[in-house]
Amino acid sequence: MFYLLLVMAGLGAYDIMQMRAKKQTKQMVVYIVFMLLVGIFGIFYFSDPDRTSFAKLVLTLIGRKE
Amino acid sequence: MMLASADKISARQAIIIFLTAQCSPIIRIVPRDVSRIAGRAGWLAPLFSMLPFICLVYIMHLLFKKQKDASLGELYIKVFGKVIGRVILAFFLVWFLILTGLYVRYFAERFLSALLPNTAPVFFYVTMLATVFYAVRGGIVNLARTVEYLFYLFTVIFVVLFVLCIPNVQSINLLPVAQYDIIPLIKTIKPIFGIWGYFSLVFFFGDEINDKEHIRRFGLQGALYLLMTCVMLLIQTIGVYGHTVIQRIPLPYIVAIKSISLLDTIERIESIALAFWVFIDFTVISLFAYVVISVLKSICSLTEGKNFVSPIVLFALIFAFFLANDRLELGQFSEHIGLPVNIIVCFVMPAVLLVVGKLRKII
Repeated sequence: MFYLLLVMAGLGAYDIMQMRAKKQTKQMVVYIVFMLLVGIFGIFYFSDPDRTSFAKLVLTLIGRKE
Repeated sequence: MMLASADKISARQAIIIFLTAQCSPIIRIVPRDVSRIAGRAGWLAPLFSMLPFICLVYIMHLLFKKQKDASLGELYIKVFGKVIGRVILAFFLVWFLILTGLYVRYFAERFLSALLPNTAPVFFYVTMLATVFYAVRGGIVNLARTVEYLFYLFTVIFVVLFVLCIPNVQSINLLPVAQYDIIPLIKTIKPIFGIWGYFSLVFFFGDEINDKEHIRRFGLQGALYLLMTCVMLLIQTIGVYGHTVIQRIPLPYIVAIKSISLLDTIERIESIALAFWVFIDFTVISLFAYVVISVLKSICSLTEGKNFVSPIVLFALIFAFFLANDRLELGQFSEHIGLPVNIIVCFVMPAVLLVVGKLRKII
């Protein structure tokens, strides 16, 4: 999880600097929101990698788990 | 006549991206599913999916007949209104993000089961996503040129491998075919068209496609390519091992290639097929990453989207882990959820868009 957050921070900083240079404020806001959501999802998954998988959740929900 | 922009790709290149991207799921899913549903008549299944595919080509042709500079995402907003259009696109966005992660996971699973069983999957995820990150940031023009060049090479190798497989094909595995096979063959539309429906995806970046008046022409040529390659794939798999074996093995195409022996000296040439499978996986993952960017651009009315590749590849990396615990779950997800939702997103929704657009006189 540490490495993921490190890569996320690095890429985020690089992209934000690029967008700031081009004065793309709207892009920047959407980007930060998207990156934050991905970060939260990363923390959610890597805090317990053995949790029920997405496929199992959805298949159970529609009653198709064999 | 409008001048073609150098920052855009041609309709031909867009269709080539689709043709290459569909190869990976077709090779993985279709031989097994079609054998299970239609038995030895399965090799005729692509004929039955042709009709809905041609309908899809015409739907796209009609959608972009007057709206030459629009993307599919913009058309959803134009036809359904800002709120409903954006809600539909938000659902598409989530679905395409899921599919990006799904194809990353399938890419790793293939190597884990066929060549390198003791390697950590994260190695495959990171190498593929790093390549996709670099390629998609370069823009659609560079991506289309790369895919176009490798598409021809892939087709040549696919045909050569098919020819080399012919001596192992047994007619008893393919014939007889009777009228009783028609109903099972109709049922094969779900796995085949669930993938061929990806045709509509390339139009999510329709604003970056130059000559959309040629959608019908190149689309129908693409249909012929799809039909021929899919029948060849099915003859090569069902014809060599029979439908009862093919429906039970995870990678029928690789197993069929393993049966090739050249003059009893050159064998085990499946590594060539696997190498090209990497390329087609790269294409399908890049396509989805680019489609996600395009949908996001339409939802948020953004002018540029190349920076969004970073969160997309990071999401795909995490989701590839989270998606399924094992290969069985992955297969069940594709069969029960992936294929039906694909048909809705890629075929039913564009058809609804066309009807509503015509009724509202927008399209």
